[in-house]
Amino acid sequence: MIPISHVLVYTTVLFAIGVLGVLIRRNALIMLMSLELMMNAANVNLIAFSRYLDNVAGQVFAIFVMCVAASEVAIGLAIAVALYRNKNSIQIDHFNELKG
Amino acid sequence: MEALSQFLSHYLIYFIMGLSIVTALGIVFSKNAVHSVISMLFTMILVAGIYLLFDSEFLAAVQLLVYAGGIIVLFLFVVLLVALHKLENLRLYNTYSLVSIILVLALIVILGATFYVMPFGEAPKIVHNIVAGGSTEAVAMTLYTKFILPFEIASVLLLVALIGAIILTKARTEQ
Repeated sequence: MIPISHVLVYTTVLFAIGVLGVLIRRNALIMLMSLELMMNAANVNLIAFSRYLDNVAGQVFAIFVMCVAASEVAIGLAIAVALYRNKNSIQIDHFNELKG
Repeated sequence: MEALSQFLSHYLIYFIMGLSIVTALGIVFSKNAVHSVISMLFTMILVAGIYLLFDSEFLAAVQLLVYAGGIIVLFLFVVLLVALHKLENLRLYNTYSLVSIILVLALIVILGATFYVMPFGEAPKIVHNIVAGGSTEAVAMTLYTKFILPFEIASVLLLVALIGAIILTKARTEQ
């Protein structure tokens, strides 16, 4: 088994890539995918600690995280489709009405 | 034989980690959104492989079913639905991307260095709760006894998401 600090560094990199995607992309769909990437990084941490601490509660919690991620994607994509219907675009900078 | 499999799983996990970071970068930096979805598919499959190497075969199967099977197809549907070829001439990245990249690199360095020097100790050689006959049975026992209330709440959450997605995407009918 590899040391758990290596796993933590790996998930940090994965999470940071997700943050980067949310910060720099203008496409709402790519931003949603980056969110999924961040949730996956958290899940890898949960499962690695579940293995290293010999406790299955981490795996159970990972199931709940997946559950929340799946519903979040369903709602997010539904919102993206509704936005595309209204404005014919899913570029985030085209939805700036609330800025006044 | 035991030593060989130990050696293989040891290096296999580093290989999978490196590969999944490359595909994760592919999600963020692809020009075409369909390529991003394909990169995400590969990332999810590789992450399922990592779950498998951490002795959680049930989670690996769920990851493949939910992400690679369901969420990717959903993303692909929406990407094809929104006709991205019309958006081709738009800018891909935000104005302050360079600042974001520097901040994210700082995040990696600070958090990574912190985790790297933290004394966590070694992994246990023999685990009792997890690998005795696979972890699926242990997960089920925990999920359906100790965590039964969160499990039911999660089912309600999924129902809400289902109804919400239908209502949001329903075409507006004429009054």
